[in-house]
Amino acid sequence: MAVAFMANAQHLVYREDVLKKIGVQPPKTYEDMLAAAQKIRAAGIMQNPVGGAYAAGWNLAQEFNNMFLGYGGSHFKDGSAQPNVNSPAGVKALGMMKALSEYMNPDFLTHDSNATNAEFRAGNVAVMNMWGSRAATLVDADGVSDAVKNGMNIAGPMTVGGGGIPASTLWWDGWTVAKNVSDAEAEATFVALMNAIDPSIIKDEEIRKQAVWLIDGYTPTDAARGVFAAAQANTIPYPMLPYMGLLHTALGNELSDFMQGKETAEHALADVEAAYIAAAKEKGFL
Amino acid sequence: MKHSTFFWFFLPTGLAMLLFIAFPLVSVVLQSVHTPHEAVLVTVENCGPFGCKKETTIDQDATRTLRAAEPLGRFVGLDIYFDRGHLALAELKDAWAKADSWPQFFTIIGNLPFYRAMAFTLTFTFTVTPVLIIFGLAIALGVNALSERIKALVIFVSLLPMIVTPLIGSLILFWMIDSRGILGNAIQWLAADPDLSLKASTGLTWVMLIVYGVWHAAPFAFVVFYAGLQTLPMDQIESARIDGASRWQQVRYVIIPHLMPLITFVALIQLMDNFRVFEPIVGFNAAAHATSLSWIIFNDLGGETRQLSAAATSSMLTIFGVAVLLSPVLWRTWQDFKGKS
Repeated sequence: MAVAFMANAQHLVYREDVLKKIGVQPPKTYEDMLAAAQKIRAAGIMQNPVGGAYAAGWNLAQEFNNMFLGYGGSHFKDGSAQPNVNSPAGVKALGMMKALSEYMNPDFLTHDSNATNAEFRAGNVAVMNMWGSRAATLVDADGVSDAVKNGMNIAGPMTVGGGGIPASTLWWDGWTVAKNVSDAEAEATFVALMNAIDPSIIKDEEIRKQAVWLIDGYTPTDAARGVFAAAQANTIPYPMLPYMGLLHTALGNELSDFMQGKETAEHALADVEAAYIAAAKEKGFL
Repeated sequence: MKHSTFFWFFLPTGLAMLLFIAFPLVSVVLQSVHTPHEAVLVTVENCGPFGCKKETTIDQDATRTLRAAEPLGRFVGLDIYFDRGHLALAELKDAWAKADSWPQFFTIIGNLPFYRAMAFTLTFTFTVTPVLIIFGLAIALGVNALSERIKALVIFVSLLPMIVTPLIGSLILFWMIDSRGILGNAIQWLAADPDLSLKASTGLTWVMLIVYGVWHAAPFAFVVFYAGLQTLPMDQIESARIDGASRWQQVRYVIIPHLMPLITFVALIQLMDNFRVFEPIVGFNAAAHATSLSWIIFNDLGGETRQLSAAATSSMLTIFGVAVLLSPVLWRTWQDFKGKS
């Protein structure tokens, strides 16, 4: 059992001023995002207007998860630990990621969310899928130009391929008390953590905007709109299965060859499944 | 030295080695031939802030009972050594049957994590080691020829790359060669290609890692060779000069033979170090282009679900690799030793 205190999701972060210049509404689908990117490049405003945390490893795998769920994929065959990513939804997800990457900084396989945010702050990116928890403080840094500061806006997560469910995942953070500590320690931990999430903390404006709190009396700040929109659009929570971590690792390692154009989507996904199966056998899941 | 003196002299070191090197090694070997028990999975109703859902989870109580009965886990022999994440025997056999030509065979096995890591690790080891020895020697000869007054300062500056923490050193270089960094921009300008990116190309990433490897390790070779140069037999150098040997001939026929034991020493240490290349891959975020055995171990332990057996197996393969790499040098040393006694 856990006590939840904050929520998170990836959603659209965009430059309102840039989209106005090309006469486009904030994209609601990834197809719209691609079209907008094309226009921004054609208009000569930015060479690589799309941002994405596509760094090989955890980030790249997470972007695949988003897109894969958006295309209606499910990571495992029903009720088992057998992988199910080498499927039409997986191939489509990779196809969309590849198309987006054509509009990204060529170093995208080294860009985690920190580097992607830096690109946005520097005014090199106009549309990106980014964590809601970063939205409030994204442009609060030294040297961010007024154009970026005033132009930044957020919206809910995008859908893809005509699907009804956003290509994103819902997250929540909570705390627990370990079973194997003494009663006195457990009590102290409980009291300390209850104090840490006391409803009075969100009276402070600074703290209120730092996260999307799941605390009584919290009213969403402007920066929390994206995460709330994600929850309302029935975004799927990240699949919390015991063997998901292994699949996530396999995805992060094996997809970069496809993103570099070294192998086909089917080949990359077959590699993912083979790597996952080897790991799942070792851990006793298969 | 008397045997008993040696025994008492060596005892503290021996104990420490047993405790901190031998025992952990035994545990790694054990870990690599065992895997965790079959997971006992149950379906439970899981309720979160966004609603309730039937979910599969691990039955902790049942798993604990299994673990208490056999704490080491399932004995699997060499299964992990041969699985896809390591030596991948089945995949290798398959590739052998499928491939029509050697290049095709290498393409297929280059897709397997272990062989991909080996391809980079061996390229790195066998380029960086000789190049850094040459650089180290050149710097040592250069510094040795300087006047006493500026020597200390030059030595300090030459040592800087080794003083800087590897992760920091690689990060600094990583930012400089970014397509928006100072070096990255300069290269784009030199190549007259605004889209050129070091980090997006596998070949250039390898070059970058190799350059970093040489930059980082050359000071070590320099220090060792510089110390060796202080023991140069001046009479031999003088007689060489009288015989009319040029500067290059003195280096080639007097200095290098004199430094040979040190060159062997540096080669040994650096072969070992470079075979375990790790920090630059992390620092340069280069995992998409280059991996090593150490990186695989890090990756196995860094995921949400730790793969201890896989990491232990990769560790054993690293030890085995180092042993193979060093065997020619060790064999020669042994032969020399036998020849002398």
